[in-house]
Amino acid sequence: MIRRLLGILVCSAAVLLPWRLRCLYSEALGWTAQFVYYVYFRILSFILKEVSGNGKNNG
Amino acid sequence: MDDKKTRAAVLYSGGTDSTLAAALASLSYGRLDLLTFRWCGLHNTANSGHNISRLRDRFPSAEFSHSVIGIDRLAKHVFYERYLHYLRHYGFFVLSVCGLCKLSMHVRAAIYCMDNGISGICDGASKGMDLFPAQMRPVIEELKKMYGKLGIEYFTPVYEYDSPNNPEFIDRLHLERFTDKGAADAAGGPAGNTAGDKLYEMGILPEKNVKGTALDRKMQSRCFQFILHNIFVRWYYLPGRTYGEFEQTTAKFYAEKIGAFTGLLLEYKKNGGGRLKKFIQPAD
Repeated sequence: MIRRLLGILVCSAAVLLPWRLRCLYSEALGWTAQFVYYVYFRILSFILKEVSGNGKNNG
Repeated sequence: MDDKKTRAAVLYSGGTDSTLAAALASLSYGRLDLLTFRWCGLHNTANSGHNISRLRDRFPSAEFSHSVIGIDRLAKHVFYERYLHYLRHYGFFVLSVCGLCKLSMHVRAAIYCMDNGISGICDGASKGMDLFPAQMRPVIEELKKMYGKLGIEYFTPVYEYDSPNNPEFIDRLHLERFTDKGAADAAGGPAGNTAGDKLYEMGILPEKNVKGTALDRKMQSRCFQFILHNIFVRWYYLPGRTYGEFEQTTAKFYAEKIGAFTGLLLEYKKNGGGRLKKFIQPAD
């Protein structure tokens, strides 16, 4: 439900935008998604490394 | 006796599917015009040239030429012509960026074919990418009709190949580092009869599954426009409706769009210009 509401919000803004602004809007959404993915991936990877006992300072 | 047909165009992004399409077409055609398109939403289009020397080495009997063609003006027209009409009838389908982008490429490619007397055209459309309008069978049929009216044969040599197993998020974490399982289980694993497999078999690619790898990024343009299409489909449309409804409405939307552009292309063919002329940018 939240996902659909977010979808409506993002799409409603996009249909109102002219050509160049819509391109920039998609770029911004793309970079945001990349950033969130990267941070999530790094944090999870770090946690896995520490939990598995491969971390150097795992006491 | 050489029974090869003379010349065909390929909508060429540089990725595995369009590279395989070019490789397979080179078995039937003596000359191939690889067409890459750029507009404000696509970056690094020069990457598409990465595999062309490999194609030339592997298929010396065929001639490959590569052109990068700007389609900003045309794409803007494809996206926004009769905008309120489409918005009223199809809602957020006007945001199916990937399909509209591909339609712009097809329209420009049809013009290129007419200008250069080319009677065959293909691309890397594949059945595995069923959320992308230009890769759906009903839309492909409409495109074939459009090209057919212009005296051009449109074919999709890669359509029946399987999609590679895209590495899932969990694969990218390389969990095999923490277990006794081998690396073969990671990053997608073996996939079967994919475009990547075939290119590897032909000696064009160094690995079977390059999707999502650094090599893949070096081979083709970067595009974030698809994110809007994905949000529309995955967040807005599909949570409330079925895939069948999505395919049906997409087919209807694109049949109308393609019909409108078929008319303009026929006008171009008849007059050598017409209303489309002002949207055409020359190749780089």
